[in-house]
Amino acid sequence: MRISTAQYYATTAANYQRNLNNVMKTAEQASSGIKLETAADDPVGAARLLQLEQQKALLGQYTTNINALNTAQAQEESVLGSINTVLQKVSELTVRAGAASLNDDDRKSIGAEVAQAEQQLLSLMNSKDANGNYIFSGASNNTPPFARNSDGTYSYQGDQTQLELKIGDSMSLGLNDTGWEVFQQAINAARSTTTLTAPAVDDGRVALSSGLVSSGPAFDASFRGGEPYTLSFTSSTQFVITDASGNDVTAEATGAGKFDPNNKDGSDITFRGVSFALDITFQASDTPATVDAVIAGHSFKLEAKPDSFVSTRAPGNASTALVTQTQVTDAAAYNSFFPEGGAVLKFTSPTTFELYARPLTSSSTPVTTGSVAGGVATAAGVSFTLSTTPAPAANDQFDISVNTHQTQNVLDTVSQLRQALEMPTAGNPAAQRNLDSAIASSIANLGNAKNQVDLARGAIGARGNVMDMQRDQNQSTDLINTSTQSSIREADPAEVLTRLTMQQTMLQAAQLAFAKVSQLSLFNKL
Amino acid sequence: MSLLNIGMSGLSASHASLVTTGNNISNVDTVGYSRQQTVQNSKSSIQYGNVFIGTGTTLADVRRVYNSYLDAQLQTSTSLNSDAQAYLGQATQVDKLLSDSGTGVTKTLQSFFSAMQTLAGSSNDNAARQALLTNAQGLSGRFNAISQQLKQQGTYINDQLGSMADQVNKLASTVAAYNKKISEVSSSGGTPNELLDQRNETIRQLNELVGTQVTETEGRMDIYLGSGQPLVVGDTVNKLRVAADPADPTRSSVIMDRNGSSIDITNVMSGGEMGGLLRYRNDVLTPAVNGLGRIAMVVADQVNKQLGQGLDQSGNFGAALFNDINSAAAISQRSIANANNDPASGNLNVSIKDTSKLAASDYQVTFTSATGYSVRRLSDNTNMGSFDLGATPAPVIDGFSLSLNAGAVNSGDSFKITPTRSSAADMATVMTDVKRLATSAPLTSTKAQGNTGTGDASQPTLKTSLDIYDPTQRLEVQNAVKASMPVRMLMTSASAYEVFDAKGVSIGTGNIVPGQNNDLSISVPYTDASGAAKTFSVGMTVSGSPKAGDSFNIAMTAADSTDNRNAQALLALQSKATVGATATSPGVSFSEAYGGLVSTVGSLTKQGQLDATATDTIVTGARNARDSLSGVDLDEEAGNLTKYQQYYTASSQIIKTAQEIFSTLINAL
Repeated sequence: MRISTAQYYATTAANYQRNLNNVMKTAEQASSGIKLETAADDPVGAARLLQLEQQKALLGQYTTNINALNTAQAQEESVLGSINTVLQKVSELTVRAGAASLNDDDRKSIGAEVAQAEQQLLSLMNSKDANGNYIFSGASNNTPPFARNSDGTYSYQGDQTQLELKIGDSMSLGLNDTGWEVFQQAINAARSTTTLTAPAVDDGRVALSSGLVSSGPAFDASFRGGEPYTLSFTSSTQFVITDASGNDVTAEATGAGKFDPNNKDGSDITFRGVSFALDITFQASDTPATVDAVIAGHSFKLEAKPDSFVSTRAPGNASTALVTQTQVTDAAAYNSFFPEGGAVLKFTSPTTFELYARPLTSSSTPVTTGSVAGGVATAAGVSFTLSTTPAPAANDQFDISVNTHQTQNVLDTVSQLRQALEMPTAGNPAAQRNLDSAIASSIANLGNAKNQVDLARGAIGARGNVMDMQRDQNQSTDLINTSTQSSIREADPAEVLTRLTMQQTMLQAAQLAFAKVSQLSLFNKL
Repeated sequence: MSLLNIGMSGLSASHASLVTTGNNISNVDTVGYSRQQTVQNSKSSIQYGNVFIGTGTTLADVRRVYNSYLDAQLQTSTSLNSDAQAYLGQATQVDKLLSDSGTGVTKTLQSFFSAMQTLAGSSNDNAARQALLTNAQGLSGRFNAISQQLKQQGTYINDQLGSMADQVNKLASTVAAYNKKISEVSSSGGTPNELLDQRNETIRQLNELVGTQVTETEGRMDIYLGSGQPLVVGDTVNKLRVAADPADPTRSSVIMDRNGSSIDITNVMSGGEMGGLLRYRNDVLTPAVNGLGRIAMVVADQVNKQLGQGLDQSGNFGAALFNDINSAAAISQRSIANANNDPASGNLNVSIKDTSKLAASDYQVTFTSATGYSVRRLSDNTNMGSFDLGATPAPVIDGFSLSLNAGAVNSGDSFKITPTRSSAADMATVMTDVKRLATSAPLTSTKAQGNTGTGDASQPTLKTSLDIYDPTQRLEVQNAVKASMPVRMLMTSASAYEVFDAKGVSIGTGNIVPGQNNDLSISVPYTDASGAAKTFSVGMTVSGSPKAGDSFNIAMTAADSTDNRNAQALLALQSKATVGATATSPGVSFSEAYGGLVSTVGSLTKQGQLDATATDTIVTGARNARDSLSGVDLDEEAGNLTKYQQYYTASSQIIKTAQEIFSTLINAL
């Protein structure tokens, strides 16, 4: 085959150019370490790389979330620890205050310590995190979760939303615990009540305490089912309990209705999960012959505490009218639409009003409207009795908050304990009995509150465990991801350098061949 | 009988051969030159008695060493190679643009969602909100930038086609002139070697620009393009020009003018640089523009939709973050009326009804009557069927539906529908007030204080979705939800419940199974503006064992809430299948769709690289074959020089001998 001169030079130049190109490309791979610069270098690998990068980005998001969760949980844990310490201290104070040897002044000084603890608890429960958001408010981070009402009770102003963050492809964890769950849901041991129904005037002989729930399940299951109960004394040693439908259920009480009236410490009657303290005090004129007659005929109504309302007059009201009494008159309507979380009663004129759900904003629409009848405003099944003078003016507002007594915030428990300790009891057996029942219910409720706090701390611990496991899993997935990416994207240095050496050799050989062959020309010899 | 004449003939023959060899040597670098050889014939002999004595030699021909088959091979392989190189050159640019992490969309999209995740952890943080907004602007800006680059490529192709068509015309005129000259010279006998070589070289240059078929008849070369359109016949040239495609003015098409009529040869042209550019435009650029546009459109649509379902910091339903894909301006720009339509006809509006069903393609719509039309998808030439403008609801074809823009259309009108072409360029971040980012879900549930059972209710979801493209429905449902809340679910027994609205009116009852997860759907009634009774539905899961008297409240989420459920739903879009749903597959997520686009362009570029290498080898082989026959080898010519020099010397010896014979004869007398 003939080789024309032009062809020879063109072919040599093209080959040299190709070799040089290859060397340049390999040199660039050697210096950058990357063999996949654009998708054309490896289209399938490029698509896989994009998927891996997406997975890495997601893992990065999960790590950010885990860090945020860790910070939030650590802070919550430390606050709950402090609260637990305060509750311990209050429990010890309560037990000390129950000793019979203390007098009013001693109790007052214990009461002062309890007041300190109350303030400390309030500020701990209203703690803020590093960004200035309240940690126990749920999703309403700018509202302090617990506020003190004008009558000394506390209400929860936050919501019940637990925020969640994703820490794995199918795993979300809660970021916060709401004040509702941790503090507001402590079961109230003092949720029963007794009322003297006969005789009309209390003669001081028979005293029955409000009762302390000793067994929650029994109370919910059996006591509530048959209330209200009537406990009537048939003699000085016997009483009978009938339930709402008139059945005799005395057999379920301690001693089946028999008791000893001369017992110095009184008798404890446990009935369907509630413990009542019964105290008989005979008057000087009572003789053993007349005891039965004077005791018989006393009767009490036993029931779970009905919902109680606190109606507070707004400070900006035009008139000084007050709501003197609030009670549920239509249970069905009350259950079906009385605003949960509190209401606002607003008067549009001295005789017409509107009821709104709390909070009242410019865009609120009234739940119901009505007019005052006989000094009573009835809305959503609740009757509000108004003071007659002065009558309410237009635009007067009353804030209505509801206490169902099923649960009790620990702040209310401590506050009630403080108030009981500040009350003098010297020489007043009724006051002494109130103090005893207050201390008993405080001890029980403080125990319940501590339980709730412990539950929350346990939940934090469990979440921490889950986070640790997830974090380890995320890390190992990340490692696999990184190594797969580098196997696709990165060049193997050994292979690249070997290739570079070979291509350099080929280039040198081509140069040598060209130098030698181009000197061979017949014209040089002629 | 003259020895002198014989010597003279040898001399002149050798001289001519030397000149030809010298010509070959000096033309060693001339492109397209075929080496020339002299062919000698002996002169006729004279009869003396019964012996014939020769009379010398004569130059019969200076022929060029040439094989038309090899030449044709070189021409076709040149056009193939030019096609492949032009395609590769352009495809590499798009490949780099899309896959590079600095210019591609992937990193910006990931950064956007990362900012969203930070926001989900602290919804009230103004800095986090601002960061999300900035990232959204970065994302839409990136889509704009890439789309701008791709548009420039399209403009570049139009410009190149124009200048190449001019060049083709020039070369074709040159060939026609050569044809004329060669036939003139050939008719008077003889072969004009240089003209033939130069004509071949011109045709080869023409093949670099566009693929041709060449036929040789009676010494002239006729050149045909594409599927047989004549470019040069004898000495007449049909000129090419470039004009805007009547169906799509943003693209140029190539038109041949012939005898007063014009033919559009864009779709039948192949080979050469023009063919490569056209192939690139069809196979790589248009799908890339449409694919990118589709992703941009789905991102804007899905993010806006989800934001519309949640509440912002002021407690109002959310506003859109990105531009409205169905704004009045957008829907009127997606349809291009053919330039040959009836001048009185109007245009069409193209509304996108379901972004997940969009195919990344353009469509051809032809009207068969004033309202009936048929649709053909251009990416794979599928006939989508026939529909009618008057049908209600409007038929949804691959996610979009058509309606009249202004005036009526006439039968025979055709339109090109480009649903996704300009979406990446149009994408913009329209939100400016970070307070309006809707991260909270609209409804929140709370348990009542006095609940005695262990029942638990999950956070409720609004199951009726707000249509952000139907302002009436959207406002209606928003107002209905705001006015109906709060709603209370009261347990009338351990397993039965009743639902009450804000005024205490019962709106429904139902049952649950205690101890299990019960997914409930609560229908809340309302009346719309015209008084018709409608409902919206709320979903909630009740678990545990509630007791009679327990209640759960559902209310509107308060303003300034750090609830992050809507932000979580937005984050779920990262993995949700939102692009390219067909009858057989549910589709893929944003980043997977972009990955598919990058991978497709990458594969086409890789294929282009392989094609370019293969055609390069073929053209080198063809060139080598031709050069091996027709190319000049200096060593060979050097040998020839020596050879003819000797022949010249030998012939001059004959003359010297003849002269000595004569002088011997003269001196003898």
